[in-house]
Amino acid sequence: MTIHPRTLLTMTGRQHGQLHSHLFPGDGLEAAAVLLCRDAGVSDHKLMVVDVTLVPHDQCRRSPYLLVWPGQFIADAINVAEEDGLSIILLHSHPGGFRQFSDLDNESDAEVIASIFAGWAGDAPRAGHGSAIMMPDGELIGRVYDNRHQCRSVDVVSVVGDVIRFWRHGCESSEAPMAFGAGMTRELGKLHACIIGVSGTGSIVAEQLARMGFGKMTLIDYDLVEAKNLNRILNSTLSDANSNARKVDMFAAAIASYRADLEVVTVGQTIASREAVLAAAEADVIFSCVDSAEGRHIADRIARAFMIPLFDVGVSIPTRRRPDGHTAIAEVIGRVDYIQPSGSTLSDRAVYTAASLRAEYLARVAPESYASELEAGYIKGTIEEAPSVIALNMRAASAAVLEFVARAFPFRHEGNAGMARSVFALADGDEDHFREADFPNSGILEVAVGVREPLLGLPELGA
Amino acid sequence: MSTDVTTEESRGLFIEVAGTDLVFRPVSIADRSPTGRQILGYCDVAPREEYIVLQWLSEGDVEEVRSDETVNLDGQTAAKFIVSKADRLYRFFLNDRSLSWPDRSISEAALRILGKIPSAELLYVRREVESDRPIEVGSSLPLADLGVESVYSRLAQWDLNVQGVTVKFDRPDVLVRDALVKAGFNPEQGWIIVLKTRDGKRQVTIDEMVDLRSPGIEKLRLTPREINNGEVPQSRRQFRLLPVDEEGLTARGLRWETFVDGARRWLVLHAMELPPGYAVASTSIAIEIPSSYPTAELDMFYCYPQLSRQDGMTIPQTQVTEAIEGRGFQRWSRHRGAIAPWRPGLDNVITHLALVEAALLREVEV
Repeated sequence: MTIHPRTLLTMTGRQHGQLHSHLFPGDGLEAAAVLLCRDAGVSDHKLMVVDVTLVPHDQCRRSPYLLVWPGQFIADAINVAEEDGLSIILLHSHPGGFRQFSDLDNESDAEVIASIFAGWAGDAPRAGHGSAIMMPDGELIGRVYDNRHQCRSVDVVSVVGDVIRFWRHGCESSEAPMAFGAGMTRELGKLHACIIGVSGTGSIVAEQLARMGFGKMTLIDYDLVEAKNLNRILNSTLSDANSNARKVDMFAAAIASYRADLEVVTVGQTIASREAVLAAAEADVIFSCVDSAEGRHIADRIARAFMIPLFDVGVSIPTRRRPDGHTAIAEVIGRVDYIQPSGSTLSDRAVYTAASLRAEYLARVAPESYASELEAGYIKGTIEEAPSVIALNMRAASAAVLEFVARAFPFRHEGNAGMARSVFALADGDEDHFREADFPNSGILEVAVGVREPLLGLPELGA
Repeated sequence: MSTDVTTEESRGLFIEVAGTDLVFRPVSIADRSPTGRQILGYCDVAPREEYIVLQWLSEGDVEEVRSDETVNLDGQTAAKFIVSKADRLYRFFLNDRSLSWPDRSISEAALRILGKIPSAELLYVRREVESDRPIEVGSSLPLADLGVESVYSRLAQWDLNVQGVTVKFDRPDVLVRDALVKAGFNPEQGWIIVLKTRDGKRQVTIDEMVDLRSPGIEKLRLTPREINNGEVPQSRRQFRLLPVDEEGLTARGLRWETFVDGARRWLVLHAMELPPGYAVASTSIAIEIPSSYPTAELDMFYCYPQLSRQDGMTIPQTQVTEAIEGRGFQRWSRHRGAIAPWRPGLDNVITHLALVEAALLREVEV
């Protein structure tokens, strides 16, 4: 049984790769690194790695079973960490694959961790400081100490990269379960998904996740069920439309009718609200199924600030005007973007822009001014679109969920690196894939800032 | 894993040895109670009689180990020795500890290592008649010149006069806000803050860093933001801007408010002075703040009373009137264009204000 709050340690794929190649340089000798971590400020003690210092091999005395390294690196870490209230995690390798802390590790922690607390000015970080070991296959095992030097294991270590890894305390194997098998179902039972937007695509994503066995789901949508939605929202009924039920309540009730062991959190608010953002920040994975630039913008910022993998799905049926004046289908498109914390954002990928956010705001709050600016050419109009249909929504929602499965339970022959974005075009009968490197990475949105005010750097969400 | 801590297995099996550079390296030993001569043997130096062995004790003292003297190595940590070619020792004090040193001088870096003195502290050597001399970073202290030198460290200290109150800081980079708080002023009071230095004076914001190392920093002068007499209504703050915006506007001494009219979100700057050439001397300027700001861009601005040129010439792209709380604001359709687009993360109300001011100036420039 897990004690709450749990202690989580999260890093990016890039950080993990960098650590792994430093800790296992190929000579079979131990090596060390120092991690600085920020507490995300959610209900769990979620430590997000914000800085990595690799202790140079030539400054250590290294052997396969013993490592001695200069304390100066810890002194330097304290200097930085103190300022920001960060936790320090001392990491070293066990080249022999010994999946436990050794007696030597225990003795060393007793001395070193105590000295970190002793030398600390001001309040110690909420999650304390700790140590971790890395196995040759990349598995991380960690523990943290509080200011009374009580030690507890890190419950989950996660890496969000091309592959999403979760290593859980007490597991016998460090390998990811096989996709689509019973092991995957067991693992999903320990995961928490957040679905932003429970409508055309969101309800279909949520249906899949609930039936696949997710342990906890947070549904976020401010909207009510209307009769016109019944053609595309799974589980919605005439009685929901007649009673103006909230989409999240309707869907939570539907899940409860076939899953007893699933915890569902409903937030009947726009994602552009403090409550919804803080609810989403608790999740292990986010599916963004909204139809607005604003919703995607907020999802983008949550994923980055709290280091959560983000799957964004969109569908579109652009039309064109034929010479005879009739409207014709130009293309039938579905898109899935996978966003990882230090990679390119939806903004970098131009899914929304500074101008589209303003235009969407104006269209919502001042339709007449919007029309006048559109007319004057100050803002770009969107191409006329045919309403999307459930068949297209289903295909795109399925692609989004399969993208998640491929990341968390790898099965692709060629790996995941080439699938940062997938776009299928049904009129053309084509499917395109884009790599992370195909997109700019502006680094404008800060990574791992947690609940710092104003929330997500947006005055509108400030406390 | 361990830091510089020996373990059960290795305890007593090695010592750490350095020259006067204090770069320690491990040296294996066979005996837990070696003599000074044996230590020289383990270090493989010759001829041994030209070398001196010093032990850096865990309490911080540095003492000579004579060639026939034995050292007991059963301590908790690896014993540290300094081995150097020398024919005499120089004695000095470091924070009141007596130390022996085999060189005619000692580097500032070595002093810090021996005394475990952090870089935030400054080192001084005591002087009788003149004031104590600082030991600069990267320099060395001669030990053979006078008698026994005495070195001490203390936290660096910088003074700043804040509106007549002298406050002391232990670091030279000081946030203006911190200086105000330390001097007992309320930083939220909306001061106009001027930093006076030898080179002149400049206005600073509450979140600016001041470098007290710059020569001739005299003081921070605070001026209360001017209050117009009369029935000035309390400024509304119905929604927040970025901290940098709020402080920037306040630092400029502007009276501003934010409010929601219908669903539209407005920032209004009151009594903005205009450059000469307009029929009125000042105007209120409204800027619409979309809810996704600052990722969403700011565009255009609105003036009330509406502006016209003194010479009667028309101002282009200002024909549209927008009702804000019932008053007809004149829309100035001024845009960034493709060359200088909105940069989320860099642009904000203050940078947009620069655009507004430039646009107002451009219309009346000769």
